Amino acid sequence: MSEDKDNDIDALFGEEKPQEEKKDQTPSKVEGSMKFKPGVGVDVGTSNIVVARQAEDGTFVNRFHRDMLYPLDVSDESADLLERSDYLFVKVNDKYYVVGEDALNLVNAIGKGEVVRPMKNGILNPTLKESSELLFYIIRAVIGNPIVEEETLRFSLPANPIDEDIDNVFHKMVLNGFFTKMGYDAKAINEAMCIAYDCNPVMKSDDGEVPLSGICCSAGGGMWNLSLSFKGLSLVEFSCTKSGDHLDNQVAKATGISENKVIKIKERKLNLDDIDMSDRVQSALSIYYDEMLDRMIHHICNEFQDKSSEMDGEIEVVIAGGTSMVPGFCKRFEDAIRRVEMPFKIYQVRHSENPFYSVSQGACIRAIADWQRKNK
Amino acid sequence: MGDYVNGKRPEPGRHIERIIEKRTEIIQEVESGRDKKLDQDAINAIASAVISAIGDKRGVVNTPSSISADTFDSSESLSRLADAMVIQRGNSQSNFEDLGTVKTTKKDSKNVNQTIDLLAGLDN
Repeated sequence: MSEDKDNDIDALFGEEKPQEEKKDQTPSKVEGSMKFKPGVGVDVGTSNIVVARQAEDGTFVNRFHRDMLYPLDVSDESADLLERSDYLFVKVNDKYYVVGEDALNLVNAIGKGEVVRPMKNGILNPTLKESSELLFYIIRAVIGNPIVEEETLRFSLPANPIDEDIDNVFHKMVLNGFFTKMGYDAKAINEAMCIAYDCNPVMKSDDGEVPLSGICCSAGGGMWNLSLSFKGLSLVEFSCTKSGDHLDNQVAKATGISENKVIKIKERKLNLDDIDMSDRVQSALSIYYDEMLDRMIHHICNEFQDKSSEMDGEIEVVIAGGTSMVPGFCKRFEDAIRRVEMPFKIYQVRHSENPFYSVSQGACIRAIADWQRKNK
Repeated sequence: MGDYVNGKRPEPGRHIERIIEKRTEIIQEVESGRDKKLDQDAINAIASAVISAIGDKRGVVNTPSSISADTFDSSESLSRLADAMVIQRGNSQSNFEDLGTVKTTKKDSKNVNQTIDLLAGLDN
């Protein structure tokens, strides 16, 4: 891995607080010596693919890959560039697609064109003809083969959004078909419920503490996914579009700076507790973060209103997802939630200790439970 | 321009009037026969004739066709769907087999195992 790549990854994950231990190594070094429990979790996100397995000693091993591509027309020049570089690519029809972090580096270096994504708003990108082909190449290379026959797998699925006419059925079936073809016993799982399984929100009632009960928010690149759960069962699930990617787009429009550069600034410089107001991009990002948080809290109040009688205690809100990883995000969320009248008493807003991995780890925990149930 | 029927251009709206007249006649015929009762023997004779005419074709049972809507509820049909989506696999290529960067995390094993046990008891 190049030094630049290391720096990018450090910038992306620098603010995450490890629980006990955290390592960043190549897959073969870590996974080669480990024995895993059957059951794999896959977070199929708009921005990243993350795959989690749990080792026999309890360690979670997460593999991630940026879900992003830079298209190059097939020509002698592009073939020469790819041959002389260590870029990873897929060739489909008359285009090369440079995959992952290199796509972002390349578009910034060349200074023209845009990266493309196989996913949009949480589902397969309908405007990209090769979306399923490209996504499958990436997923197959990140996930690998089942470790046992018919290994259970859970993949994250967004709820249908309340602010866009988008249906997730086709996306769900295509992914289910793909994992099944790879030899897995696959099932979808709501993205926000994965966070519940990973973070275990607790409700405090007169009868004591009730596990797996509370509100979970997954702030992803394409959308927010939210759930209200009680004892591990989902009571309400919904999603809203216009999340992290929308911020990049709006800030790019407002400042005249390309989206790719906005992404770099957001991931490397932005701190919502300490905005540099002389920087137009940071100022604009701060404004759009506030707008997004107010919008999400408005939806939470509306969608969970009818369920207030079913939660007879004080509940916890847990937040995870790549968009929540900007420093200061959780404090702004909590400030915004305290300003409105919520349908429930909320005693705490908690940021997942592994916000980037909560969805994949929660899906993994559910897949391991599926395996246990299947082999009773 | 096409030729008119009988070489005569129809009056505007005339064909609509004809339809209305015809329907009015039919309604009058039906209503005039409402009070007439068919003889029971005649009804039986008609019924017998109909039954003998259709013979064994009575009691038609729908049988599954070889082509039916796919509900994607089996691994075979899901696999076919995946094949259908990856239509260009034969013409595509990549220069990698293995992708991704690895991060490990540790969680409280007791809590994780409690969650797994609870979830293993849930149906969905």
